[in-house]
Amino acid sequence: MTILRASVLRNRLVLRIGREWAQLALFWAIGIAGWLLVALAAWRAERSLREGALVTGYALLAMMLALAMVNLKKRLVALPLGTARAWMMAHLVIGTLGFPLYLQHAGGLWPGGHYERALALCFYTVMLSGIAGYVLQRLLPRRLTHLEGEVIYERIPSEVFTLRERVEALVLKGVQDAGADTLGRYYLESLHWFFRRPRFFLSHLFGSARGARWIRGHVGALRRYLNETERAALDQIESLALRKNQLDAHYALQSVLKLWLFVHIPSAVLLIVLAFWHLLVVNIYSR
Amino acid sequence: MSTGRRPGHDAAAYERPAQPYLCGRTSLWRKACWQGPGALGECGGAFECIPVRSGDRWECRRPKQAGGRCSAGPLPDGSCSHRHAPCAPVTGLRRLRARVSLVALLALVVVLIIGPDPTARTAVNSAALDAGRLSSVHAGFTREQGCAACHASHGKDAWGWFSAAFRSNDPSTGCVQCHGFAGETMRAHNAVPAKRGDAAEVSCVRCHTEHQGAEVKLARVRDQVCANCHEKSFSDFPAGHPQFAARYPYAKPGAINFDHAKHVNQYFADAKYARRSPKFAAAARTQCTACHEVESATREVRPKPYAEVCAGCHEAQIQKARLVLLEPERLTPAASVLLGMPKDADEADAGKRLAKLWDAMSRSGTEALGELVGGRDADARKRAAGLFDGLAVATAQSAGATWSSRKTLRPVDEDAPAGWNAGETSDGQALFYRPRGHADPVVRAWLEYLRTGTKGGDELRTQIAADALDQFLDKDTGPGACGTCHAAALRGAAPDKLESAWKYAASETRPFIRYSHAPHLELLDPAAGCRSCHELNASARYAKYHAASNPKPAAYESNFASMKKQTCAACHREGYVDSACQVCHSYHAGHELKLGFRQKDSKGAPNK
Amino acid sequence: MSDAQLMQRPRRWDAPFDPQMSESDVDALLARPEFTAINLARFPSAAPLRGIVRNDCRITTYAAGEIIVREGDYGNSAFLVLDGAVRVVLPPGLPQNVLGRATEKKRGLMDMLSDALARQPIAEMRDTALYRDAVARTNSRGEQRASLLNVPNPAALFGAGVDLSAVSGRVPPLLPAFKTAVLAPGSLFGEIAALGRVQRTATVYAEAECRVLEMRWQALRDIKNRDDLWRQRIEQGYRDNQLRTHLLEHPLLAGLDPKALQTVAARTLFETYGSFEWYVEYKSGSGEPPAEPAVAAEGDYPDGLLLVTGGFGRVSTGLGHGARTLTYLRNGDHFGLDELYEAWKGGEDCPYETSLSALGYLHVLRIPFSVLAELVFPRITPPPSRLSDAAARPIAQDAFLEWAVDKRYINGTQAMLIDLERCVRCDDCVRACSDTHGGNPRFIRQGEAMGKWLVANACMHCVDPVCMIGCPTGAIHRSREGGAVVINDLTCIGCGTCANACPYDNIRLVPIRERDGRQVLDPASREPILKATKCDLCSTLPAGPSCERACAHGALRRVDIQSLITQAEELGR
Repeated sequence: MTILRASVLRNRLVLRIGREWAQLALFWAIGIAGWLLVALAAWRAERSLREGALVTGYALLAMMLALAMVNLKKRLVALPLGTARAWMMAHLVIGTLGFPLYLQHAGGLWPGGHYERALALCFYTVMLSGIAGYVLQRLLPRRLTHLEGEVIYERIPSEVFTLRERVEALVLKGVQDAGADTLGRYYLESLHWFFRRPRFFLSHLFGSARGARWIRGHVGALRRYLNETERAALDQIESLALRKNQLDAHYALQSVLKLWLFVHIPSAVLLIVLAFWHLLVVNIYSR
Repeated sequence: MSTGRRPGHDAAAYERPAQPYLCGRTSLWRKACWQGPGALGECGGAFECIPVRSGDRWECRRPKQAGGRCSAGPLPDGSCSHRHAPCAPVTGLRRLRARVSLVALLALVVVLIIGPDPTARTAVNSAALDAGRLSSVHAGFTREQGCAACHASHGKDAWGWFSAAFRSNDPSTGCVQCHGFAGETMRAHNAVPAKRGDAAEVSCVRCHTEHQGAEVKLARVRDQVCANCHEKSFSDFPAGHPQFAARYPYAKPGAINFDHAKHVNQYFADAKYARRSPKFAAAARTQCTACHEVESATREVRPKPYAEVCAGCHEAQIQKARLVLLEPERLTPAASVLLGMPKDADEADAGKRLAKLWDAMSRSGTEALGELVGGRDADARKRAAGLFDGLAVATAQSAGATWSSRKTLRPVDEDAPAGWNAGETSDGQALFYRPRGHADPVVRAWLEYLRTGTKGGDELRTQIAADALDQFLDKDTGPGACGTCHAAALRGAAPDKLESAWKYAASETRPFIRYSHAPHLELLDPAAGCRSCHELNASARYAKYHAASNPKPAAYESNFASMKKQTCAACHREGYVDSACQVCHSYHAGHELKLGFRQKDSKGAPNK
Repeated sequence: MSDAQLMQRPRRWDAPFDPQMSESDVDALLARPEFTAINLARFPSAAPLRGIVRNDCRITTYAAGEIIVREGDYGNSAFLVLDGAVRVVLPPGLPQNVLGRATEKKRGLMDMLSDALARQPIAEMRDTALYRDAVARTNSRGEQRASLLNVPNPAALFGAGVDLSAVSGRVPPLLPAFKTAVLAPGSLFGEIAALGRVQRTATVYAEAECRVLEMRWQALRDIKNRDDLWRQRIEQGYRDNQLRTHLLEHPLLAGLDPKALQTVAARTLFETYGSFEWYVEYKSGSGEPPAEPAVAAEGDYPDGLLLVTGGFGRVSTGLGHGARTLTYLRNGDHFGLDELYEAWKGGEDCPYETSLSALGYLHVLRIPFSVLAELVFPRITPPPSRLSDAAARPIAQDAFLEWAVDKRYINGTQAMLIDLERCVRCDDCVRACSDTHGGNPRFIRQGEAMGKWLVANACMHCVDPVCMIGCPTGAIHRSREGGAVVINDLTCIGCGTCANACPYDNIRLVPIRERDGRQVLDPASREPILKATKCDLCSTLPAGPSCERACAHGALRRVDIQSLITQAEELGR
């Protein structure tokens, strides 16, 4: 039946969770083996009265360059260099194993000397921001999925604009139909601020329902001043406001998912530059 | 937001995350215009379409994604009716991130260059090179010169500085300007151990790391560093350190035969001996400090000089022991050496030779004797002078003449004064010498002369000298009773090192172990005193080594029981007294600071 | 803004299939018996028969042994034998490992590196000079011709001892195990794959030198729509082919002797439900699934076994006031076997336990019960159906299946599925797609979501790509290797038929720009020149789809929805 079932290219199974675990385990095994080898080589160097910090230092430099390669690989996506998933797994494993290697190299948590402290600061910044980023990337997508709907980050301004236009049209029409400007006044006093841009950033970030409460509170407060027609308009405005609230939640969570890299990558650039400086200075002054 | 309704393929355009700029209206939370910014980041346009003339009417040409044809249509003059203010395009997140990286890098460079501590006089400021504070001992004198005081590559021009990275720049070459060591500087323990033929070069900075702060003591090195070579690494001294060597610290015999056990238990206790110096004996019996100089105690607690502690009992004994040089009928040991005849030589031969000697002596006195001492060079003459120092020519002549004519010398008092005497005593006639006291030069000269004679030369002369030496060193009959205390040292010393063989020398001299009595003395139990650690071993056969004619240091048994690790570990252990390696061991064979005073010449450079 | 670039809007026949075809060639072709009977008046003036023959057909000469079409390959043309000796290999066909499959030239390393390093910020930039280059625009690029004489293991085909180097002019006969038939001049072959957008059903090779007329399926479509004889011929060929491939290869009928098979074939009926243009109604709807013509109803009594040969059908059972989908059927599946077998065994009529309705359109072969009872059932034990397992599942587990069927995602063999709980919305996938397509992404990371699964707006490379049906030029076609649906930018005229047809809005028309950023406009109407764009599955890249390989969290996968549903069922999710 090979012809009858039209299968285009390679039809692979979807659920490959099992295979991913095996891949990760393999990377960890190789990573730990490599780390032990380096640690052993450094220890043996010390025993032969040579400098062990050279071994660990060059290993650290190679590691950092390998970690940075993950960014370069994104440019060369067409070349068969392996999947980004495998590279990311390697990045996590190598990045984690970098910390004990750093401790062995520096001989302690915090060095003396200005530029070495700058180097250590950059290292810690990169490492901690990486860990934070990993945690965020595990936690936030789930929360994003549980929100209503899906929106592309770059389209959020356009969506906000659309909602704002619709609400303002509703307000204008409501004022026109009812012959009273209550709706308009209240809108300008309260809801207009809300529709101008995404709000309640921190509340959405921490998962609090403050935005929805705020909306309901204002809507509830306004309802008593309105007649039937106006209330109908208000109901529509409320539903649009709740949609905007979901949009705000998307904005907050997706912003964080993009902004953590603003800490991780610049400090990584600094780290690598300082690492090369360190390499130069060590070779000029003590080797 | 997608809520399930089908938008149609016209409704949305592709999202282009690779584009560096976004329409600036998005930063105002408005809808982005469909044109998008230009390639250089300029606004894409203020108009929504470019109207097209069709016949006599203008038609809107707004694309479907932007809303399709507008209902209002273009203005009569042909321009678009939908205009909006030009935007200021915003940078996309990726490009912004790259800019942040660049700015951060520039900020870092600026901070490090303008950073504090600008003490170096180089093109690159030291904040970017600052590796940490120097230890206080080094910080002071290097302040003026800065980094270049130890790092030769500092202070050069940019290319010289950079190219130094490809050469060796060990700062240890600077350390040895001031720090000297007994032995090879760059080898482990300043010596190449016999076992490790491939001992690597060890530079100073391997163990002594500078730039760790002002309070750090550079000389102090962590135990782990020792463990790099000394494979038995341990953290607990009592449990992990190997047991001390079997006979530590009494493996090497001392130069002087002093049997502590016999003296303390017998000679100082028994009235028969003690009466020679009763007060001293009483004190010395219980207190080691009666003989040992405790005030200046370092590694060794030296015994006080002979005159203070030994003379009280032994001086009389020394002065009584005569050196019999010549006797008329018998071949004395000295005579056998002078004449070169073994002691069991034929009597007749011996007699003839002696007769010739008397004859020679009667004529030239000491000269005849001097001639018998071998050699005509200056050394031989000096030797001869030493051997017969104080012997008057007349005495020798008269003795020679007397014996030559078979007469008898006049009797001499038993308690004849010190020095050369020729006369008759209870033991018969003799030309003899009575020692003045301890370290009598004549007796000493004779012993050294005999000792050198035991080495080299032909076998007969060697044997004669050895026999004579045995006689001279005999405890009971040897002249000056020197052999009582100095026999083993003299026999064991090399012939060219006899000068130091007489003196007291510390027995434990290994350079890498260090111990000082001074800090321990205060902690002693007053009742036990030195015996807290130095215990007499009554069963040791001390005398065996000293009595042997060929003393072997390996067979030496000390009076004292060897020290065990437990003695030290009682206090030197975790939680009590510091038991780091460097407390008891030193790495450098010997260290001296080669500073001196340095004069500077007129240009400010130090004179060597 | 500076002046726009002006370029005449491309039209259907700007890029003829055979640039070398001369007017006398066309005359000779039109004089052939196959064409002389056609009524020229039925063709519109914009697309006359002469134009079709001139622009949508190609005269090709094949040397002895060359393979014209290979079983399993994808193709977009039908072939009319003009002269020479052509043979078709009858089922079961030649072994795949001997025959091989078509390969497509992939981009080289240096090209990919220069792509990666090039950064061009102008959206949809095109080199319009290429559009005027006729050679560049021909639809067949770099076709390599395979030959039976070049197979790695000729002994498997011709038997041992045959010296192929001594061949001159005529291919020796194949081993007797491989049945072949002669295709005389005037025969038409390859129309099933071309019109049905499926794989070639048989291998056809040139026994001696021959000339064929390769007709783009657009030509075939237009001719068959205007001429009854051609339509009948094509439909008859379609039926014969269906019968041949389905009946001969169905495991149920595998053991029958040729005479019995002949009987079955003679009495099998063809039925079609729903409409080919189902997507029109689907798209215009307000989100509600469109009406599904019923094929068989639960409780009715079956009178024949239904073999699905095209399209999709929904198998459902009544649940309260609604209907619950148990599974769906596609090409190769059958319906009603259990009930018929029970009826035959037990002697009593057995009603359908489930209903079957057409999703879009459904082509079935109906084998009457009497034929089955006489010839098939006595010899065969049919395997039990798994539908009882399906019915035992909890209802909630079916949510994904129901949703996929309602949205017609079951069509997709390379649907872009994004696990929203893993996706960090980094857009690396979109970036990778745009990097490998000159700065232009070919999908949008939006779409319908079901729980944590999002089906993005990326071409799903459907089993039945309806986008291809209306293309006037053949710019949208199936790639030779693997059959991905790709658009040839050089021949696309931007008519928008494919974009309007795609039920999932996965094709987008984009206005193109010149190198310096100016828009390209048609001089007469001042409308921008549009080109259709869609995901091409990175079929020219050696490593496969870039989006999947670029997702650092393993969230994005190109999946065959069928396997997802099966997997979900097996895991009880």
